[in-house]
Amino acid sequence: MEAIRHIRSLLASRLSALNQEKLKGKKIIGYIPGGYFPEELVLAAGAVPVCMIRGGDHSAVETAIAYVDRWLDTFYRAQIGYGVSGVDPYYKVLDALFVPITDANNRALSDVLAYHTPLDVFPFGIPHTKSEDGYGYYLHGLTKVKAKLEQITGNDITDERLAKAIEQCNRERELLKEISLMRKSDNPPIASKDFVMINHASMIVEKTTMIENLDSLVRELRNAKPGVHDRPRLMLTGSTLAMGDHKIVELIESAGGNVVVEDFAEGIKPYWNTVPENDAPLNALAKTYFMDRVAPAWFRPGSERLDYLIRLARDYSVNGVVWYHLMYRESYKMQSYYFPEMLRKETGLTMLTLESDYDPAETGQMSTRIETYIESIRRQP
Amino acid sequence: MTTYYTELLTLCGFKEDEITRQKQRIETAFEILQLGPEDMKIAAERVQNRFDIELLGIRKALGVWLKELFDVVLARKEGKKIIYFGYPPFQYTGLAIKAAAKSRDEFYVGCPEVVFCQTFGQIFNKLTPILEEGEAKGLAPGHAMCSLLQIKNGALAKKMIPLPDMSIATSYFCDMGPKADELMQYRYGYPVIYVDSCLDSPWGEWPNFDPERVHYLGKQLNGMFQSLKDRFDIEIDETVWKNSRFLAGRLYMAIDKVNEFLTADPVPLGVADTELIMNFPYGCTGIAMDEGAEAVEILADELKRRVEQGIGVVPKSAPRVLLAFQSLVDPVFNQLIGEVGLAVPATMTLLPPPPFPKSHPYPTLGEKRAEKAMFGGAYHSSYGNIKRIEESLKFADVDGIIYNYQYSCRPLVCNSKLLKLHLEKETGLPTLLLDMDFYDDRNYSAAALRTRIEAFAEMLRAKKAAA
Repeated sequence: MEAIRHIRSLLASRLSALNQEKLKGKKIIGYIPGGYFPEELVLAAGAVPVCMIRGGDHSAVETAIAYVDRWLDTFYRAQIGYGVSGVDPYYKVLDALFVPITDANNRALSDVLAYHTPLDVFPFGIPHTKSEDGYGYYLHGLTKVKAKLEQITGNDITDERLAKAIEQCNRERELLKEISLMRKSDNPPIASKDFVMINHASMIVEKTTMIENLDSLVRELRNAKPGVHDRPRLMLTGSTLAMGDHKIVELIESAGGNVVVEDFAEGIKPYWNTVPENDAPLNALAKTYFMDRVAPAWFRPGSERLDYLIRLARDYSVNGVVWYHLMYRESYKMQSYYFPEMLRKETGLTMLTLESDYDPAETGQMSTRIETYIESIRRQP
Repeated sequence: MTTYYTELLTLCGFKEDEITRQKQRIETAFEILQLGPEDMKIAAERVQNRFDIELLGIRKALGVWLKELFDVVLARKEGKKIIYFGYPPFQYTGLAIKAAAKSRDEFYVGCPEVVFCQTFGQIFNKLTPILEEGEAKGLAPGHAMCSLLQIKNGALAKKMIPLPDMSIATSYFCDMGPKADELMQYRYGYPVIYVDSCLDSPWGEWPNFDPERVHYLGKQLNGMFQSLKDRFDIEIDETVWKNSRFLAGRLYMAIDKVNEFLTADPVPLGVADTELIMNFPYGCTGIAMDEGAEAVEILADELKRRVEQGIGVVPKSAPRVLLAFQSLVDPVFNQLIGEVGLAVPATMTLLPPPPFPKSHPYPTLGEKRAEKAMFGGAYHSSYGNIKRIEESLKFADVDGIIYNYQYSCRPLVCNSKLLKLHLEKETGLPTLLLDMDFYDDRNYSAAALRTRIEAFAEMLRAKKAAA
């Protein structure tokens, strides 16, 4: 599809575009994914947001070992590897990095980069329980982020600017949601690898251009005449699906599976909810980003997410679930132990659990397990 | 009358009449724990070989841990309400519950996994089946899951400890503890209180902090107090909190005395033995407050005599190190520090606190406790933890640091390498990093650690000689 090709090319040339923006005096603001950093604040400050969402690269994980123990989440070790290398072009272009602190893994990232690099690292806390107090603390964090961005850019983040940015980001979320919902059909018009790619692009590509392309894509998809598929429909869920970590989706597709919906803490931007446009903007952001979204596995308790996955599995009529988490992300590992029992009880579905340390040596074993799982689904009466 | 457990219990400081009086309880507990005559023999041998049982204080300390084990195992049968708290505990919370209760016997409040470390680990060397059960029931091996939580999970699954009426999760420090509590809540259905916090201070902030951190953690603590009132009708206020400190006062005073004698040269007690007293205040709220305090007082008197006589566990002028943590289960590791000729006058948990900055007038009990937690460092941030150690080192006369850390504890793993860099730069003290497991000796090789510690000791000796 034309729009997909265009978005892909925008992604490929984004680094050079960022450097050009920087030369023009724009501030480039990096943030760590997970859905708790509102890009709206950066846009309203007149700066350029860019998500540090790359992964899948074992060499970055190896670089990190001199700076942090291996017993931390693979994605965060990879970020440390990129960050401390001193040569990574995405980290080099940043004027500041915002790190929503969700657990010890990204706390390590924040501390190691603050200690070992000249990068301006700004951590802010994400409470682990949904409550009025938790909302209050998150809102306080956003207030600090806003002040920091104003200091970096020299621009005031006024309510008007913020409202405009919210409107823009809402449009992007609506389009992503519309595309995702099309996959409920018997013959989904877009492959998971393309949906994941556009989702990643929405965290990196310039916002206006991205929205224009998503708009075009929606029109193309509405008019598309997808072929008939009889491949098992799968939900793919887990901790992190980074840009560059293509292995899992490719293996599923080449084994004859069809991922029709994804849910990840890092790597799939939450697109189900829009931010209310008539409320006080900062409060509205806090409500949508913290209270309304389905919390990831590290929340305590984390059962909301498991109920949500069961709803997604039903809504998208899936035949099975692939749970993919990275090594040493303990919250996902623990839920992967008891979720299959819940899933089976509620839906009769089975689940395949896979883990990765971005090590190429995993591929063969992972491929065998996926093939076997898909075959077992096919043989189900 | 001699029974299959008399020898072990006598070695552990039990008096004959105590064994007779408690016969029923002891046998019921051992039956639940599936500990038989063969286990007692192994334990008796281990106690004789691995601990300084020439000292009555050490024998009694071992006995206190066995009594704590009996208490937790029998708590439900004895009609107590049961509250478990995670490790590391929020200081004094358990004791405050005891202080607020109608009688101290009304509740069992403690950290059963710590009690199991000290008994099934240190004394019986029989933790493996419990760990394996914990692994099989959701805390899988090979994923750096906390072995302390595996012990709790395994002991619950094997029905060695009763289900609690409530569990207080360590959400203020650790990510894995509360998730493991969630897993156990799913499996067993008991209520869990999550006391949440966000360790989000930027590098370099301690001892300062964003006051909102104190408000948030304070509200969480106040919420816990409210839940305790709603569920158990116990009210924790400032007076109760003060009283709770008195419950542990005698124990802390005795520990302080021991600490003072540990600074002597030669150091009069080894790591395997100091470990036995360290966790009384962290894992227990029961008999350890009285009989534990008595054991530590006796120990302090015995150490005083050793110091006066110049008796030490390593030669005088041996290199002195701060050992970050002792193993809670493995006296073999704890002993090898002394075997390579290193004296340990201090461990991290027993380091004296640096002077605290002036307090703000926070209005609620929860906020006051939260503020103290910020000053303590570990609940503030990685930087706070490291600086707290750096500040405390000013009061410890050491030649080097062994920072051995729990490989499966994310908060410790977060900062291990930064800690070494920072402390070496700021204090000039050589620092050895050791990745190990305090709760599961299957996860490291004591021989490999020995090689590294020996080399470190040799370097310290050479450095000392050159000076």
